[in-house]
Amino acid sequence: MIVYVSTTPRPTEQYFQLFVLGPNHTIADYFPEDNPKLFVGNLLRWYLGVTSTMSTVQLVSIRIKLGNQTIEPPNSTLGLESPAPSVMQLEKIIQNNETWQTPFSWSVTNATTTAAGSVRILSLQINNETYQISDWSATSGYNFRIIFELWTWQSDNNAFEFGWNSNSQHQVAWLQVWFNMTAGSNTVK
Amino acid sequence: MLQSLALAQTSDTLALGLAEAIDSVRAAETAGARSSDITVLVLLLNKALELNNDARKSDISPDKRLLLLEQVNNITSIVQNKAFELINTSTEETSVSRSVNYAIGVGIALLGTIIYAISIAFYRNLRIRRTFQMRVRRR
Repeated sequence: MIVYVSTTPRPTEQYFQLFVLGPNHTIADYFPEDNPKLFVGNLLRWYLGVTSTMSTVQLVSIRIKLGNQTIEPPNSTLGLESPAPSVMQLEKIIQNNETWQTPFSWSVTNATTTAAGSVRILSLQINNETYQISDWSATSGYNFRIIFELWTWQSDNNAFEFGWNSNSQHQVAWLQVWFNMTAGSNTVK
Repeated sequence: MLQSLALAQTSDTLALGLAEAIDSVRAAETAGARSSDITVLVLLLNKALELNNDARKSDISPDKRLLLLEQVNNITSIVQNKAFELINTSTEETSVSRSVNYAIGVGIALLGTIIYAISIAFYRNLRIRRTFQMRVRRR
């Protein structure tokens, strides 16, 4: 029995952690002066991270989506992704007990105000790459949100899936950060 | 509130070689390969992943894309070969280690049995002596 116990690895809980940190690698100061009102060109320096305790090597993908107040967020109960369109993804292969942290610098590079008073985001710059967005708007620029979803590579299906399977259960991890947008550059701060 | 579709710029696909290489590294890990060996393979896989993502970009020329995918294939082949080596080595090491552990276990069990047998024999002798002494005292 002693031999069996010493040679058999102890079962551990398998899960991922997804996190977003501010510019100082803390869960604070996401926005300048804690004001989530953004102007075109405001650069925000955040860090995204994933920790894995899945026992094996995992290919993970953080999907970045842009949403507004009406779009559904991911559904943790049903394990469904948000229907908000993906802007880009960051991928990494990580080992058990490894934490991957990557810079996430972003800004809205183009936005306009419609005749109805909505603010429409036309392009985002993420990590020095520009992504065109077509017609994504919010009334008066209020309650946009940036959604981060954790996807994992499933060898069985040969595809990325939202969340992961652990102990016969499907689990998901996602985060969202709300912000307000004003078309035009920041002239008064 | 207005909303409409934005451009989706993500992909669910992965180069086949890369997917197979990930599987082979997982197999090596399961077979008991050392963490330091797995780290080296993961570093190579991340390089391949980076090149694969570069190859996905729309603004590169077809020639450049082919070159990148060729590099991905080269790296994944190296990873797969190394992973298979690790699987073989680790399987042997694991079975040797398990055999040694079981041999030690059997040895400890034998030793325990011998100690138990000696203890019982000693206890019985002691009991006989005490019984004899008690009888002497009674007389």
